[in-house]
Amino acid sequence: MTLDTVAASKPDMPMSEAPSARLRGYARPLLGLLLPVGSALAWEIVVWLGLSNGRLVPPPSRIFVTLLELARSGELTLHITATLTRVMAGFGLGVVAGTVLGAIAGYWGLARRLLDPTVQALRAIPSLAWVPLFILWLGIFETSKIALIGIGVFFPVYLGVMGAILSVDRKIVEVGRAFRLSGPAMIRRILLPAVLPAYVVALRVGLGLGWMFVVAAELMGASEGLGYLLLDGQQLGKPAQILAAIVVFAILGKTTDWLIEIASVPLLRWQDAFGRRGGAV
Amino acid sequence: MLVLDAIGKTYPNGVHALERFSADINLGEIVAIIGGSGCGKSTLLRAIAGLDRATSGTVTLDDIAISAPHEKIGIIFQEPRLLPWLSVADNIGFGLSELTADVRRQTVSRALARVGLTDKAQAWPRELSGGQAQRVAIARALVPQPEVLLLDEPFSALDAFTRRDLQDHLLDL
Repeated sequence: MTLDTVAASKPDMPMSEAPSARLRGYARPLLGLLLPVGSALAWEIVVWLGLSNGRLVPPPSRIFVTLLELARSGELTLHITATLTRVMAGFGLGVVAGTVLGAIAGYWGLARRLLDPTVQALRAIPSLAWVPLFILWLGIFETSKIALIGIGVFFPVYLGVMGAILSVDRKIVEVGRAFRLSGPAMIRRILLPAVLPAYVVALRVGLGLGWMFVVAAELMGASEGLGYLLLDGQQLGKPAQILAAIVVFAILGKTTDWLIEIASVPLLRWQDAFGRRGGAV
Repeated sequence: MLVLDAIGKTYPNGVHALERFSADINLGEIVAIIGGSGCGKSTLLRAIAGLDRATSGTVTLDDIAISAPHEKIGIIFQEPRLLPWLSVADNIGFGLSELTADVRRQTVSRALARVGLTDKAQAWPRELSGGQAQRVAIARALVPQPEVLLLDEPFSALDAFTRRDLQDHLLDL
């Protein structure tokens, strides 16, 4: 019996489909804007129609005007710079400590047994519990704020690195052993690349917590920063300023997260992951 | 000469995988170890490769006791175990890090040609078929020129045609 089949010519992207595929490529990120922009527009219309006075929840146009005023006076740049500097310093601190200790605890069993129970106990402490202690130890100024943000970033990075190293495929590690890699070479050539996808996730979670902790840090006595802008808006009864600060937080948080995501793309091209193909339909 | 002297292996859960296995294997000899599933074939090869320590007995290669992976012994596992973050060429050159970049490139290039994968040099392992991936694993094990090459059923997961093709290919190499 013979079975003749004609292999259909199926190029990756037929010419007729190329423009629509390109359009889909542009439209996909815009899809994420649909919910916030749609909600903002809806609220704007509600206030414009007089269905709400928009006093406690100002419409987007009023928030935009507040942002413009803050930008014109130079205050916005000042507050953004202060907050960004704190987040970046705290993030750097947390990432370095989390990566080093996570790698040590993940690779050496003895270090894990020594270190991990204490770290896990410290992780259970609510972030605000550190505030009075940090103020006593490090003063009211920048150091205590950066330390608090660093604490927030440290735990997810530590846990992410340690967990990722522990879950590296034993068979892959065995390839390194078969080629007689030394400890540092094993870490550099096998473990680090293997944990990279999980590490990127840990960094993103850590950064997200860094943005949360900066608010707590700035609420504990700051004269500049977006957290200060929030507190100032609450004390002076300016909901538009509070919402403006929240919007800036959201934009900065999303932008910095996106930067990590973009930076990791060339390093993770090798992944054969579900998400690479856009996930489920 | 590879000498296996009364090798025994008992796992921590009490399972006796090997008991007093002995053999003398000369240079150039091809030896097949045949047995049912779970009879200890992989355990024996892992002990010879220095990946697992035998509970008793010794493995010696040219009078050198083997208790850890050795440069003269290469192993090809049941699965290709390619490193997914390295290209095909980098996977093949993985064990050649002590060579200069130029020599390594030439060696890898020759190995790629020998396994018929020159056009896949820059491909990721995820882009290979099962047979192609196993050919890369073979090339990776062969480029350091080991004196002993251990094959732990590397073709068992492949279809009959690919298996026959790779067996012939390996004999040619």
